[in-house]
Amino acid sequence: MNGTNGVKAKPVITGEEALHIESAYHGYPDTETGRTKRVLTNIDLLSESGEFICLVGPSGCGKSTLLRLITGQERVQQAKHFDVFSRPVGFPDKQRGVVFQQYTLLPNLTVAKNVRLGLEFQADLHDLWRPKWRREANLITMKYLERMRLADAANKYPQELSGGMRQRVAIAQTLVTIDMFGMPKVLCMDEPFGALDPGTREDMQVLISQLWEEHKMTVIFVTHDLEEAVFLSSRLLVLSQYWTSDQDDGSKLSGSRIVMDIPLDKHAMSTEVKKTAEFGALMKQVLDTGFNPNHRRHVAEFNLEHPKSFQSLSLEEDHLNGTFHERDIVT
Amino acid sequence: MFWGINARPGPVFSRVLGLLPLVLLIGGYFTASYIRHVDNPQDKLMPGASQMYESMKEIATVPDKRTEQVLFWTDTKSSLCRLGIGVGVSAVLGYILGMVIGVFPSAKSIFTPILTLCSNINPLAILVIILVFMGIGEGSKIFLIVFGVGIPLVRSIQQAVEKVPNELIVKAQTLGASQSQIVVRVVSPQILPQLIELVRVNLGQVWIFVIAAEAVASTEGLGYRIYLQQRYMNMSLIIPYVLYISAIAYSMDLVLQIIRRKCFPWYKPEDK
Ligand SMILES: Nc1ncnc2c1ncn2[C@@H]1O[C@H](COP(=O)(O)OP(=O)(O)O)[C@@H](O)[C@H]1O
Ligand SMILES: [Mg+2]
Repeated sequence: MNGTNGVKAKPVITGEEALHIESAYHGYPDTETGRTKRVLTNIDLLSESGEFICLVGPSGCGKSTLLRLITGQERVQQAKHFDVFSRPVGFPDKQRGVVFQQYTLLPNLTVAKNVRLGLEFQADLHDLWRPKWRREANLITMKYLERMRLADAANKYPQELSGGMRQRVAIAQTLVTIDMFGMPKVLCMDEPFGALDPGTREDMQVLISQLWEEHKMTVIFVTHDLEEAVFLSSRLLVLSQYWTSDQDDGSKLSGSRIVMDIPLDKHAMSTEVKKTAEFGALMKQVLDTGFNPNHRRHVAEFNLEHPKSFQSLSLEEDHLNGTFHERDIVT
Repeated sequence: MFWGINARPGPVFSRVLGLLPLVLLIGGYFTASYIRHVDNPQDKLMPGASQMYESMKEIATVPDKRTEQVLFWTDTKSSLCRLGIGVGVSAVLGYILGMVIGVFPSAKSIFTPILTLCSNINPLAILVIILVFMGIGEGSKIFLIVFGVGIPLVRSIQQAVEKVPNELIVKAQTLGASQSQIVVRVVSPQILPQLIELVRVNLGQVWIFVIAAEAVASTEGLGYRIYLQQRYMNMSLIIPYVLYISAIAYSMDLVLQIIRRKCFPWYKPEDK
């Protein structure tokens, strides 16, 4: 700890590094004032591959923004580190699979052809015409269709499917290349079940948990549904604009920070766990930490229990130490 | 019961209501024509059915003395050729250029100003300029169509491409698609049915340009014939020609609609 503001040293990780984000800042032009409105402030995040990270926070706190930075849809404005699998983040590529809330199926292709797409994109051109390759691609496609309980819908068009089925297709589409090409290495999902009705939603939560177990993959899952997050994650991140520091009493609203980062036991494969008292207590704790505008936590009081969490000095704090450069400022 | 906001005409009654104005129009015409012919059997202004039939029979079967060709068919052929080539060139141009502009932001920067300029120029107003520079051959007529319809098509296709959700493009990239794969395999197949729809919508415009160009500078074609006959006040030919053009336009629309339904069963225009 450094004085009154929180600083926690960066840990050393032993496994494969999936994300390495340090002192990341991002914002958008404010149409009224013309200045930049900060959305993300001093984001520090270090993660090992194999984690199921859920990112929760109040609506509008910047969850989708952070995910877009990770998938490469947008460039981070300023950061000491913004690495994905030890390489500076680039444009979207096959390393990072995505599942959005909707709109990611090609309307002109049947379910089976939608799912095959990734195999065809990543194959060598001459392979595409080889019967052996085509047989293999068909087998893999069928495997994933069956795994996602879509075999009966293989020849339907996406428009003919229910919302839950469409999302299953979207997930199958993303995972299909794992066997043949070892990609994607991380699955980025932005409220993937947000448009589904509650029953279907729970089914999908169980399904995605099982897939995570099977493939031992890294998942970054954005949701505003706290219950979903606590149920799914092996590591829970709470992003919130409701915080204070010695430099900022919270009235300036200068962007969201990670106010909570905790490890969770993830072995429950049944939604029954949501009814336990422990689950309820955890939900309450998270609500209190990140979702209450009237109770802002001080930077030094963030709940950063997770062994891999760390906290760097913010720009303003750096400023006090005299190492701050004016041109770096993101206001 | 039959009238007012709460009226619910049944299917048969609806048909009857719909036919009413048509019957009145056609009946009214032939009544008037009959009355005029009682006064003056030589009347050319409102020809009766038999006069029209005779005129059409002559032009559709008797070869022209000078060219030794049946004028009705040469007219049809040359008009349809102009129309077909004009629409074809416009569609290809609209599809390719519209896609490139819609997908690549730099191409959009390059082409937007000139397209805005061109689409604000009235094609018929510069018809004379086109004729002066390109002569009165087929080239100038096709240019008129492409200028008048191809450019709006480029912009409509561009807008259609821009409506493709960004999520889908990102998804394709994360599935490993290259830029060309995104254009060829993700965007272009989705736009194809919309191209057909756009051609359908613009067909009326194309006909206007064909007829106008033929009226001003041509020696054959359906539009040319109509304007030629105007000199002789030969309504018994002009009226059937107008109906004929309408029939062609209507069947083209139907054919395109059927192609769109058959080839792109997944496309739901109302989803837009
Ligand atoms: N492209 C953008 N331009 C301007 N402001 C944006 C843009 N994207 C997001 N924002 C703003 O950033 C904030 C966070 O948005 P977002 O990341 O979508 O929040 P969340 O996903 O947590 O609900 C919001 O206040 C939003 O208005
Ligand atoms: Mg969001």
